Amino acid sequence: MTRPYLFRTGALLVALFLSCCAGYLFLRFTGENGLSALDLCRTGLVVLSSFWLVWGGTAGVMGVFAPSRTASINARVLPRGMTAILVPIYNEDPTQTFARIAAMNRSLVDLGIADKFHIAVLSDTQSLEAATQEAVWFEHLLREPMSSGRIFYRRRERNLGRKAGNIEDFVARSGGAYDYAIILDADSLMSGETMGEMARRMDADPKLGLLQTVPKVIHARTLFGRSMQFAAGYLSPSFARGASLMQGSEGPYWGHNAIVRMRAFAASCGLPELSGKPPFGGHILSHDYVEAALLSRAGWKVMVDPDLDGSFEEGPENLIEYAKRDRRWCQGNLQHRRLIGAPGLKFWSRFTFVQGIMAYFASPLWLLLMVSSIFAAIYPDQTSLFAPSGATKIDIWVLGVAVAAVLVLPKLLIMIRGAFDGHNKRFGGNLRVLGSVISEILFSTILAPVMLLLQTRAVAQVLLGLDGGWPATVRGQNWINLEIAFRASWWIALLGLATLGGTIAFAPQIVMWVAPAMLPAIFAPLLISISSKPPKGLRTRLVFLTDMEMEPAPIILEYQKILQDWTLPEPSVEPLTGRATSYVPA
Amino acid sequence: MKYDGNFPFGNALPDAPLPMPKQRLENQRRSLFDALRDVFSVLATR
Repeated sequence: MTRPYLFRTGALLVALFLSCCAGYLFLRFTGENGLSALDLCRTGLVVLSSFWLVWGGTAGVMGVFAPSRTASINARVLPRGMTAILVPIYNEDPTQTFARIAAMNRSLVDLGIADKFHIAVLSDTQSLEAATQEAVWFEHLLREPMSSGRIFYRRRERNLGRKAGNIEDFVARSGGAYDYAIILDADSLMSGETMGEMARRMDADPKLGLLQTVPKVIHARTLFGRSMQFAAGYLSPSFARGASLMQGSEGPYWGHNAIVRMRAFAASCGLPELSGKPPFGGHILSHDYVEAALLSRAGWKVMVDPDLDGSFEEGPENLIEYAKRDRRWCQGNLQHRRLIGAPGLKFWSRFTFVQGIMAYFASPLWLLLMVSSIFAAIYPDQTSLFAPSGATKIDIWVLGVAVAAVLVLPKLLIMIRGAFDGHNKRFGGNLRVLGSVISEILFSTILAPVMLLLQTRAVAQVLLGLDGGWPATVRGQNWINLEIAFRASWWIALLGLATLGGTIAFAPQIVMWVAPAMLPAIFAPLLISISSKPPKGLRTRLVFLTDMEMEPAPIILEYQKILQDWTLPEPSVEPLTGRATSYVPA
Repeated sequence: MKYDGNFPFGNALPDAPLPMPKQRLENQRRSLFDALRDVFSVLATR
C-alpha cells in the first residue's frame, strides 16, 4: 500500500521541480530590465500551467516503465456471482446499440457463461418516436439465443437524475437480484471473455468494489475520429498504466465499461442533489468521479486495469461533437469544486477532483498568459518591483523547446517501448507507428488553439452560471460542411484575426509567438470541416492505423455482422408471442 | 412503489429492491454559535 504514495510523491516532486524550472527560465527571459508586477503574474501563470502539463506527462512516462500484466484467462470458467449488464440509453440510435447487445450476448452464450449474466436496457429516451424504434429493435434482440428471461428493457418517462438516476433506479428496484453490475454506455462493446474475467475478479477479491477497463475507441472514420482512436488505442493504455501506479486502490471510474459490486455501490453511491441551482447545484453531472470517491470513502478498492483487453467504445467523429461532450464534462468537473471538501473523502479523491477541474481551467490560464504577454510587449515600460539581477538573458525558445519536450517525450518513449515489446507490430510496424505518432502530435498541436478557445468559452459559460443541459450525443455524425463549421466557430476565427492583427500592429516583435497559436484559430472553420471528412483510399491505411483495424477482435466482427444482417432487409415489426415476460408494451 | 406509472415497460425486471441511501457530500455550514455550543456541550458532559 506504500507504493502508490511513493509514486505520487515522486510525480509531485518531478512536476514541482520542472514547473519551478520553467518559472526560473521565464524569469531569466523576462527579468533582464528588472521585474514588474506583470512579469511576476506571468511567471506565476507559467509555473501553474507547466505543473499540470508535467503532471500529465509524468503519468505517461511512468506507464512506459511499468510492466504490462497480461494475465491468461480461462474464459469458460463460470463466475460465481450473478451480473447485470446495464445499458443506459438516451435518445440513441437503437439499431446499433441493440446490435452491440446482441453481439455481447452471443459472445457470452458461446462461452457457456450466459446463465450468470442478465442484460438490462435502461432507456431514458424522451422522444416517443425514438422509443417506438427501441421497442421495434428490442424485438430483434429477443430473437437472440437465450434471450428469454435474461434480456430486459424498460423506459422511464422522466429521466430524473439523468444517467446516474437511471442506474440508481435500476439498483433500487432490482439490484438485490445481482452481485455485480457491468455498466456500459450506448456505444460500449465488450467481449464475453472480458465480462467473464471481470466477474471472476470480483468473485476472487471480496474487497474489490469497482474494476474499470480502458476502452479502445473503434469504428472511427474521419480524420478527427481516427486521430482520437489512434491516441486512445496506442497512447492511452500507457498513460492509464502510469496513472494506476499512483492511484493504487483509489482508482478512477469513467462511468462505463466497468464492473461494480452491487451492494457496495448501493450502500455508498446514492448521489444527493447539491444545494442551489445548476451549473454548480442540482444533479451531479460527472457522477462517475464522485461514485469512485464514495466507494473509496467506504473502504472499497477501486481499480483500473489497462491490460484487460476486449473493451471498446465509439468516440466523437468531429470537433463540434467533441466540443459538445467537452462542454458537458467541463460543467461536471467544475461542479466538483463543491465536493473537494466533502466529509470523509480520501486525499487522492479530493486531488482527483482538483485534477479534473484543472483539466479545463488550464485553457483559460494559457490564454491569460498569452494575453498578458501581448500586453507586456505593447507596454514594455512598466515599473520594476525588483532590480535587474544581472544574469544573462536566455532565449525564449529554450522555454518553448522545454514545453514541447514535455508534451512529446512521453509519446516518443511509448513508441520506443512499443518497438521492443512488439506493441508497434500490432499497429502496423515501427515506421507506420512513427508516422502516426508524428501525425498525431502535429494534428493535436494544430487543433490545440481551437480546443483552448472552446474550453475557455465552456469554463466562462459555467462560471457565468449558464447551464449547458444534457444534450444527447449524436453518434456517427461525420462530415461537417464549411457553412456549419463557420456557424460553430466564427467567433474563434474572429478572435484569432483580431489578436493577430493587434499583435502585428502594436507588438510586431512577438508575432512569431502569437501567429502559431492564432493562425489555426483563424482557420478554425476550415480545420473543423476538413478534419470531419473520412480520409480516402490509401491515406486511410497510411497513418492512425490501429490494432483493431488491422485485426479486429471477434466481438467487433460479430457486431458488424449482426448490424449488417439487421439493416439489409427491412426490419420485421410483427409482434412476438410468448415473450411477454421480457417486454410488455404499454 | 415498484412499476408505477413511470415504468410502463418495467415488469420483466426482477423485483429485488436494494436501498440506495443518499450520501452526505456537502459540509453543512456551521455558525460560530454552533461551534461554541459544541464546545460547551463537551465541557458540560465532563
